[in-house]
Amino acid sequence: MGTWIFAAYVLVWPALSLAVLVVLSVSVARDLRAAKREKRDFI
Amino acid sequence: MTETSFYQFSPVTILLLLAAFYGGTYLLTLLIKSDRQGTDAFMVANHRVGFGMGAASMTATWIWAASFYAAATSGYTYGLSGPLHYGLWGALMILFIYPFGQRFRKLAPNGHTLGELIHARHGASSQLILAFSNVLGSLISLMVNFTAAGALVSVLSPLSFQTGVVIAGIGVLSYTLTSGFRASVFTDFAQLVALMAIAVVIIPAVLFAMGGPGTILDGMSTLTAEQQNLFSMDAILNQGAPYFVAVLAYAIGNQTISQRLFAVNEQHIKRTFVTATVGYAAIVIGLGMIGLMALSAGIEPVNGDMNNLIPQVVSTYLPPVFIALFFILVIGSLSSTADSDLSALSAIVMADVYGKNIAKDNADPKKMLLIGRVTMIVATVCGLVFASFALDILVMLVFVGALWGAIVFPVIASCYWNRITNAAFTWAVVAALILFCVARFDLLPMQGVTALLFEFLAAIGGGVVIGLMAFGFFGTRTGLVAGFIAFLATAWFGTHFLRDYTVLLASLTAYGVSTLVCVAISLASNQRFDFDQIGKRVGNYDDKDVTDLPDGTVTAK
Repeated sequence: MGTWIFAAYVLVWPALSLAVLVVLSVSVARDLRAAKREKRDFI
Repeated sequence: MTETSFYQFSPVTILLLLAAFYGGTYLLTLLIKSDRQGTDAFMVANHRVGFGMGAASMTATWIWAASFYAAATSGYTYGLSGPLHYGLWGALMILFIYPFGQRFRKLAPNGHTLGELIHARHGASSQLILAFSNVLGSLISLMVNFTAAGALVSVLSPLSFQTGVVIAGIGVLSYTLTSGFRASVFTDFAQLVALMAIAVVIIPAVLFAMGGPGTILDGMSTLTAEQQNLFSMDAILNQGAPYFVAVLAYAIGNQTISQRLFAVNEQHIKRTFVTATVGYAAIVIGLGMIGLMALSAGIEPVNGDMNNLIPQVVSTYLPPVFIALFFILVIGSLSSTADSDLSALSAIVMADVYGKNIAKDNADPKKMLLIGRVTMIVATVCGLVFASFALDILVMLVFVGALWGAIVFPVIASCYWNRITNAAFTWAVVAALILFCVARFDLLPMQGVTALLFEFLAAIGGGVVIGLMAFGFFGTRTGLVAGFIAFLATAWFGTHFLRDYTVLLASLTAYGVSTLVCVAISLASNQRFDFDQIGKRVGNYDDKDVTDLPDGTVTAK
């Protein structure tokens, strides 16, 4: 196995974590704004 | 290496870190505190949890302290494929349940627990079997998480194991008690953000602190051929396959998952659970890579205890600030699971025990909330006591796993097939448990006709596992075809073979027997069930008008 392939095999998981983190944060921020606009409980 | 190879924080530093974590979490819950909170909000946040919160909560709940340690152990034991064989199948537990979750929500739009749905479908005995398995599972989970807190505190500081256990227990209870499930979901998000951010930093930090990918790769030349193989049969048969078989069992048997299926906005169930699947896999497989790196670097776990592996690697290669981050990572993961377990246990006692069996659907909402909070306190005390005694939970874990495997088919079939009866459900579980124990504990010698019989039952179990998974996504016809093919394949390859893999054989036997008994007794009955009855029987305890369904609810057909 090449060094680059091995590096990708290990580092793809933190990269994926970061991507999911961004998606979740954006979605929660959007929900928070919508709850404020509609004057209802966020959760 | 000796125990002194762990970095040691001073007691004050550890106490400050714990105070910052639990104090901060408690302050967060004050933001959502409400005097008007009803039972519905306390148990399922009024069925209106959004996508981001829901996915974060599902991910954080499913990642417990043992996830890191077990994934790293798998990487250390099986090499290259090890982390995948822990994290991937754990992630699929979240993925494979969502099609069934959508069905649960259609049948019982106002539901809080799967037990309520089963009570409406069958009555008390089936419901209590399910509730009992849920309670046992959550109590074990609580105990394991508090134990992990104690172990971590005692490894990284001079403080005692018991100190860590008690602080974790009181900390989790303090922020969950007032707002219940809402607090659990809300804090899960904050905890997951911290968890993901730390994982994103720690994994590359360890990789490069150990010399970078090239050095690790060089070290891999000393591993066995199986450990270097991404498709290692050793890893598949000993780690992957038993875990794969448990995919649906863990998902059905765990109230923390069903609670979220009932809580998430119905339109968002699919993307919530798909995102949680990816999030879980990324974090757990990623941290499992630390085990692989440790193996490649020739590190021996302190005292031969695999649970020391990650703390040891972090202690050895990273500066103190990273060790503090790692400490928060583990405390965050175990706390998010423990608060979900407390919420799950309170919902089970509130709805399944008090609501359905004591108050008989005339529940007093105020008394119900009190019961929920008292349950949380009692559960925390039980978790603390069991954790402090460091009990051996292996037998209990095996039994709960069997119980969950035995209920999978009866629970799922009860939600789709109108012929399943209460007797069929109950006897299927009892028969499956008995034959599971025979196989798992070698009560009969596994040879000759006995072994062939169990391998045949296990082959049926293999067909059921694959069939149900395919059925969830693609419907009845595909499920039946996939199940039949899987049965033939398991029978062909498993005969004279499965008897050597006791855990796998016993688990598959539980599936096979419960399915056979459930189907046979149901076919012998003339009963037919009207699924619309479930929606009418499972109501909101705050509002007796069951026709007042949440916005966007789709009712059963």
